Amino acid sequence: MESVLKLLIVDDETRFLKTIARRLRLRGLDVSTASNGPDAIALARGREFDVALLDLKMPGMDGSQVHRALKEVDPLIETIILTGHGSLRGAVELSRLGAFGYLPKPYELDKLLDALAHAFAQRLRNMHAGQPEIVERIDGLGQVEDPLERLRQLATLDGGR
Amino acid sequence: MVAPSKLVPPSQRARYRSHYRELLRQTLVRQLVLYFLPLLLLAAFFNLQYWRFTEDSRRSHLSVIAEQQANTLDLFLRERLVNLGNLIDDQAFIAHCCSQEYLQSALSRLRQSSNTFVDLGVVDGQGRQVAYQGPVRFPSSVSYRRESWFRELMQGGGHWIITDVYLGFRGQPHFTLAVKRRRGDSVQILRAALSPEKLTEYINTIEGAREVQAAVVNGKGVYQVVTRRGGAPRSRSPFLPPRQPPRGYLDHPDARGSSQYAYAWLGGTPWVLVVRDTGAGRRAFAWMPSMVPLITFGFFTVMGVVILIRARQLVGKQLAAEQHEADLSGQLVQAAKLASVGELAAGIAHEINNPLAIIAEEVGLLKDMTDPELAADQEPLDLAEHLDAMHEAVFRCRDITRKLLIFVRQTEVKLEQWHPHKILDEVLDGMMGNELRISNVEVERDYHAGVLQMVTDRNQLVQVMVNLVKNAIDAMKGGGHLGVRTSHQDDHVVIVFTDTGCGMTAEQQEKVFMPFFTTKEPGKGTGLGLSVSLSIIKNFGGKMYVDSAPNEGSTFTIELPYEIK
Repeated sequence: MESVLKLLIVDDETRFLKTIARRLRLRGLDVSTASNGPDAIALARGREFDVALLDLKMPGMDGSQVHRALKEVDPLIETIILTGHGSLRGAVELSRLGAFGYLPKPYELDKLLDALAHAFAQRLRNMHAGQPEIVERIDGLGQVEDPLERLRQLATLDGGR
Repeated sequence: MVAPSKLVPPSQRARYRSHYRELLRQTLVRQLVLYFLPLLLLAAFFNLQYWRFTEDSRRSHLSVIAEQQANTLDLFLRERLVNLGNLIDDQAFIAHCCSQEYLQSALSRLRQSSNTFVDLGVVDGQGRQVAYQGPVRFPSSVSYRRESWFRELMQGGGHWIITDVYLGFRGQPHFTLAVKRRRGDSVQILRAALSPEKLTEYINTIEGAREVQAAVVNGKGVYQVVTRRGGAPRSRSPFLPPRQPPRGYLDHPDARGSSQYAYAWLGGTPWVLVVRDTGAGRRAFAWMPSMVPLITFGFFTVMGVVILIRARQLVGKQLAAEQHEADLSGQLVQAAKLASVGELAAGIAHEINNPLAIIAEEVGLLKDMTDPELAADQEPLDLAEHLDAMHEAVFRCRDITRKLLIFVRQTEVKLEQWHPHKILDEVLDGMMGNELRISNVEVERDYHAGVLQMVTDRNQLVQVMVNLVKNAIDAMKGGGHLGVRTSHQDDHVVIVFTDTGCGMTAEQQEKVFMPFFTTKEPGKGTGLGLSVSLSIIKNFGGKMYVDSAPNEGSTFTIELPYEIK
């Protein structure tokens, strides 16, 4: 099965990483994991990622620092930050940061997939900014309800996978 | 000083009782001085004034008696002299002076004027009594030549003399009036003896109501006329007032050592009338001043009771206020604790979310594996591994909630033996462990091996340390270094927290322990943490202080005695 999404997850809870990665791989995502900032950046330099899922509170580099570093490597990467706060202020801060969005932890898998789909759509829009037909089709896919299905269809749009 | 409340150990309740006594004592003293003292002064003043007044009154009373009676005596004596003078100047006398008959009728005429006249005698210029009429049987020819009165009369320029009271030839107390006339070359003297009885009666009348004692004393201090009560006639009297002023009141000891009497010198003879108070007289005047102290005493007793009641009321009110303050303070401590819990809660919620997320994913994975679509050609799960992971995560949650609950619960103050290092480790590893790790704060412990166990209330001490660690973390955004060092001196432990955070200006250092002072943005800190921590440490009998400089970090030092006093 071709990969639906190239995802990088960064979290210091290794058990959690292992399990979530496994679940997402079952659904056809290409998941790479790193338990700290430097490892994540090294991975990002090695290959391309569509979306990065970052835990905010980590020892060493925290989520926002990793976000900045990843954006330096690939400005078009979209990041979703996992936070325990869930406050409005936190959200405003994060969007000012330039992250795509945030998710509370723990989260429902459907909501995660939904967020990933939206983030991926945004990345594709940015990548194909000069190609209005593709952008139109991306927008059209917004109708699709099942996020996993949406991801699959978006993936097909992304030529040269 | 905190009054009994749930947060104060029993040993402090004994202090509370002695505090109450001390407060009561102070209030009583204050009230007594405030109310009694002026009243006392006033009462003393008025008493004094009254006493002075009565004294003056008594004095003038006596002086008036002395003067008036002296005047009367004077007059009496002058009249007798006039009687004699008239007689000696009478032509009939000049003609018949030595005739017994004449003298007899002259004497009875004199006695009609005044029955003090006892006898009559005619004396020549040499002192010989040439004629006599009276009750006394004289020896044949009596000569007065050696008598001092004769000599004085003969030598002096005056025409008359009055003697002191004396026994004389007759052996009976009497005094003599004598008048002198020149008859050509010779001198003729008419003398009369007067009985002092009349004068004594007179003195008795003055003494009348027994309020005063009166006496007539001569210039040498010998009683002339005195009542039996006063003294023995012709004996030495204790009175000898000064000649000047001739009338007055003696306040101070005279030549004889006696004091306080009124006197008046007579004009005609060197006699002085002396009047003084008897005990009865004094008492009559004195009853009032002795009543006043009694009344005052009664009044003061009543006032004292009122003051005592009032003092107790005041103290009661003050203690109630202190109790209220202590309650508020206790509530404040609890509120600060809850506020810091609120701050902790954010970190703790984060902590809990991780194991919860793990459980959610493990469960999710197990469900995925039962979904035929997803699990198609997957390796079978090692169930044990995943169930263990869930189990572990559950207990992680439990530990986290437990440490929060322990911190939140308001427990009674329990003084027990704890080792400060153990408490420090609990705080650094347990409660704040995760937060320290996440905030990239490196903790370096430098524990002195000689530090011993101390008596303390674990919960309150933990509250203080959590507060200090949290502050250090907040000061070191982005991470830093927290050094925790212990040492001890004599009877106390020293714990030092050093961070590499943003530090404080001198102005901030001054205010940092004040309640509601915070350098954090609104909503991010209550400003209560340090002020409550300080009051906890102070309650333990210790000290807490800070040393800091902007951008050079802060050092908080706690000194705690091993035994709470």
